[in-house]
Amino acid sequence: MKLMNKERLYWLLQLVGWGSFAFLIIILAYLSSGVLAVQVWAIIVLAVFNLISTHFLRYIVKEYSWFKLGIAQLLSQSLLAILVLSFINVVAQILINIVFGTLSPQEDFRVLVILANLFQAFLFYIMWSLLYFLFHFLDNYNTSLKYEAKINEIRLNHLKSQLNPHFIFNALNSVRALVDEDPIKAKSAITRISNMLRFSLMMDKKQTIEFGEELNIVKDYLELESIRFEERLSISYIIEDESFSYRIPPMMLQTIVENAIKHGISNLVKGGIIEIKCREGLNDDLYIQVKNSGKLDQTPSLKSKGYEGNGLSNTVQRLKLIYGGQASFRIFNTGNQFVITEIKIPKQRTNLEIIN
Amino acid sequence: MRAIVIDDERLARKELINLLNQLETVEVVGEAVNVDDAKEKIEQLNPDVIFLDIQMPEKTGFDLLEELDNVPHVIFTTAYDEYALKAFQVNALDYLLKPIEPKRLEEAIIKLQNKMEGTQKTEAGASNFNSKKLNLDDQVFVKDGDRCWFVKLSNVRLFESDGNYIKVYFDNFKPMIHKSLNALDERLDEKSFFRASRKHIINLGWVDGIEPWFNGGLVVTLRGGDKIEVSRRQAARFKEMMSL
Repeated sequence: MKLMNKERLYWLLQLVGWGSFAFLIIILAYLSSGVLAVQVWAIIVLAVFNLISTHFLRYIVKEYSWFKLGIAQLLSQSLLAILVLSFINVVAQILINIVFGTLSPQEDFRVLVILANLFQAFLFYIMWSLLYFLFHFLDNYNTSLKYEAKINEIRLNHLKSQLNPHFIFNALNSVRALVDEDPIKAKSAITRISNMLRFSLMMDKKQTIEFGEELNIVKDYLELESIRFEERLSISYIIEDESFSYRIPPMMLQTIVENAIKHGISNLVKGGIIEIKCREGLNDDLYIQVKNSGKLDQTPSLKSKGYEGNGLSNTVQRLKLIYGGQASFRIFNTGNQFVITEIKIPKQRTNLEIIN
Repeated sequence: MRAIVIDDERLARKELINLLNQLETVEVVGEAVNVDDAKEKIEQLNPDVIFLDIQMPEKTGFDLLEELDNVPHVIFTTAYDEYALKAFQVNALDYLLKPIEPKRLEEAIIKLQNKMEGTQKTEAGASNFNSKKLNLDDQVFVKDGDRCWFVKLSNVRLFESDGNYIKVYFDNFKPMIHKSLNALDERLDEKSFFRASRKHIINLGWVDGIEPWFNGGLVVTLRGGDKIEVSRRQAARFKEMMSL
């Protein structure tokens, strides 16, 4: 759509520009000494030639990606091209005059006239190029600004979702109350919050981390949530020893567990369970299952926008990016009271880390 | 003032009650762990103010307010909920961020006290014993999409039934609440509100003009220009009331 508009704008400017060029010359000629019909046609054909030649210049610029050149090279090449075009233009003017029979040899072949024509053509091409490049750079600048803004927005959202402010502030609020009630528990809660904050700040750049490292953070997180939810949350872990030889993407299990809390336990008056189960599959892959109380309102909501699907759709994208088709993700209801989220991660490490 | 603290987390309630106990002007008379519990305790204890968490299991704090007939003063509490924060800011509602800063809490209480003293003066003299009925100084909570309001009944000029909903007319707004007009009619103080017809209840304080209509009915003009037909059956009662 946008491309179409730019193309249309280009042609509009070209037609209007060279159209008014022809119009002006005709008017000037008419005012100074009167103008013949053939002369009008000659001028129109010249305008058309100018249009075609500048279009050809544009074609060269685009085809050989001159915009990617350094400024010095761009300038020298453009000047050279414009000079060549100006010579061709002078020749074309003579040819047009011959065709229309408007040539007056003793006048038009004078060196001074040819030089004047050359200079005039040169000026027109220079002006055209200036406008063309200026427009291009402005447009480029504009889109790069937009791109920058978008990237920043994505980064910010990413950071925000990693820090999970709702959780952090609720946890801090619980800790405030704990300080009086159970100072020892309060101290350990503060350590756990620090662990989580540090982890989410440091893991940003890594592609994968040791399974054990991630599990520790998840344990810290669930400990903190159980301070909040108290008897409403019961947690169990069934972890095979083999799991610890795997590497997994950071914050992925964490995101899944956070989702389980957010859409499961925190919506239930009586609370419920979180069960984390990790086992090795037959083909050297790791199955991580998170089971929580609650009910999934059908899978389409996963794809729909809004903050609900955000964490999980992100997970799906990350898996695809890191492991291609080798990893998998599913989320489904089991029975009426539980939801299972499952990811499968291959053992063999990808070379993505090296590329990055 | 008497307060109830509503939050699904025990520690969050404890923390807030601790803070409130340090203030002399506030007495915490109860706490509730979810919307249904809160509804019961509010009707039973009739507090001046509730401290209300938005995110609670099954029903949110906004749901609670919509279910209540007579809404006490509300101070919202939230840890960080972008949607709720936006609603508070857009609608100029009082809220506190958890963990709650004692100074902010005190300010909120003082602000509320001033507000309550203001309304008590207008209320003075018109003290009513049948506290079960909603009178002009009571407020209802109305939510319509992103917007919500605490509306004093004295500002409501007209209730109009529309299917299962009632349109509440005040200022330039007419948002809908999910209630039946009959149920509302029973709760409203008949000295202030009049059932004009099957579809309408009008606020007598807003009546501007009365004209006779066909079949012995009447048409009442409210301040602001709304014209409401009073059915023949009700017209006699209306005349009786207005002539008193």
